[in-house]
This record gives sequence, C-alpha cells and structure tokens, in this order.
Amino acid sequence: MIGQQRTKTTTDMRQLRKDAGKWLKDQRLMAGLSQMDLSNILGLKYYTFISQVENGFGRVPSGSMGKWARALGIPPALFARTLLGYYDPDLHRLLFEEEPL
Amino acid sequence: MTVMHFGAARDKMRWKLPQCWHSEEAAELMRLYAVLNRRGVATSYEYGETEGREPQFYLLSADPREDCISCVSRILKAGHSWYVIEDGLGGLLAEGYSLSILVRHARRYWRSLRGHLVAVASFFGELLTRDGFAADSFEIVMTSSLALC
Repeated sequence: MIGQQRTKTTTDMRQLRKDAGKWLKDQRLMAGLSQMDLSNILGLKYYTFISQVENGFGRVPSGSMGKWARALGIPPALFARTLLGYYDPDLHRLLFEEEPL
Repeated sequence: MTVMHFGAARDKMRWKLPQCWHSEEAAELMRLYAVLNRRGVATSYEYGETEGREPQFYLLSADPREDCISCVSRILKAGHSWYVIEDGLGGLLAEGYSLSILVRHARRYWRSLRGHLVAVASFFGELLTRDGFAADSFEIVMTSSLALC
C-alpha cells in the first residue's frame, strides 16, 4: 500500500547498492571472470569501475546493462530486472510485483 | 655487516601493503574531500580496494540516488603508481602519476567556481587546455564528466 511505503533513506539505498555489488561479484565469479577480464569485455580502460560497483559505490549504467549481462552470461532482461530491484526497489515493485488495487 | 637503508625498507613495505593509502596520499584525498564538502558536493567518503587489493577512495553525496560522486584509485601501471579518477557511472575523468597534481588542480577549480555542476565540467575541460600541464607529465581524459551533472 502506498501509505506504507517509506522513502528510502541514504543508508537503505547504500545497503541496497552494496547488496547489488555483492550479487554482481557473485555472478562474475560464477562466470569465471576476473575484474580485469570483465573490464576488457566491456571495453573499459581500467577495471577500477568494476571494483567500485562491486563494492557498492557505483551502479551499472542502464545503457551498458546489456553488455554486462552478456559478459556474465545472464539474460539481459533478467539482469536488468534484478538490478532494478536493488537500484530502484519501488519501481521494481510497481513493475514486477502484482498488488491488489 | 648489513647496512639497512630505512628509506628503501619503508618504500618496500609500502609496496607490500598496496591496499593502504600512504599517509601523503591520504592527506591529499582529505584535502580534496574538504573542498568538496565545503561546497556541499560530497558529504562523506569511504575506502575500498580492488580485487588486486589496490586502494580506492570514494567521495559520496548525500543524495542516495547519486551516491558516489567520484572514485580515486591507485593502480600499478608499468610498475609505477598510477591514479585514476572516475565518476559514479564509470566515466574516466582523469588519470596521472601524480595524485598531488590531480588534487591541487581539482581543489583550485572546485574552490574557484561557483556551482559544482559547472565546476566538474570546467575543471576537466580546463585541464585539457592548459599549456604544459597535460603534455608530458600528465594525461587527462575527459570522457563523461558531464555525467556527474
């Protein structure tokens, strides 16, 4: 219910971003890639951004989610939906979780 | 008799602990943070490291949607320290071997310009056009500084 939804605080959002980073790291390790491998596939000059995101201090830009998904062997729609759940949980709920009117 | 050179030993110790920022580097990072904090751009900071235990420094915004304004990393490039500054979306803002030069120019521009939105773009734009600055000692890349805005 809308009245019960609370605005995400900075702490909440940072924790969610850390959770997203952990999920991304797990996916990368499952794909058998190092941070440098992934950055090479993504065409990044340095792997430092991969680390930044995995540590929860950055987000995968929506424009490159498809590239990340393919690099990690995850269907792009599933990848984007999962990350949206971390980055914008309210929007994710509206889009993907059915609620009674 | 073995003569120990403490300076060299200290330098070796540093390389054994690449996950740590050196005290001089930490001081530079704090100077950068202080400027951004006074301007209300950054409200906190965090430390982290890469998979290879190379140190990172994150400047954070109070806005949870923005969160990381900029990330400073120290990596090894051809056996030497190399500093990389990126925004929160992976845009490479600047890189070079001297953190103090990076920070000094960043502080000057952030301090002198009125709004941080203008400051970020102007800082990196100006660096590109300064005579003798980007020539041999430094490499500045302005790929997406506007992403910060």
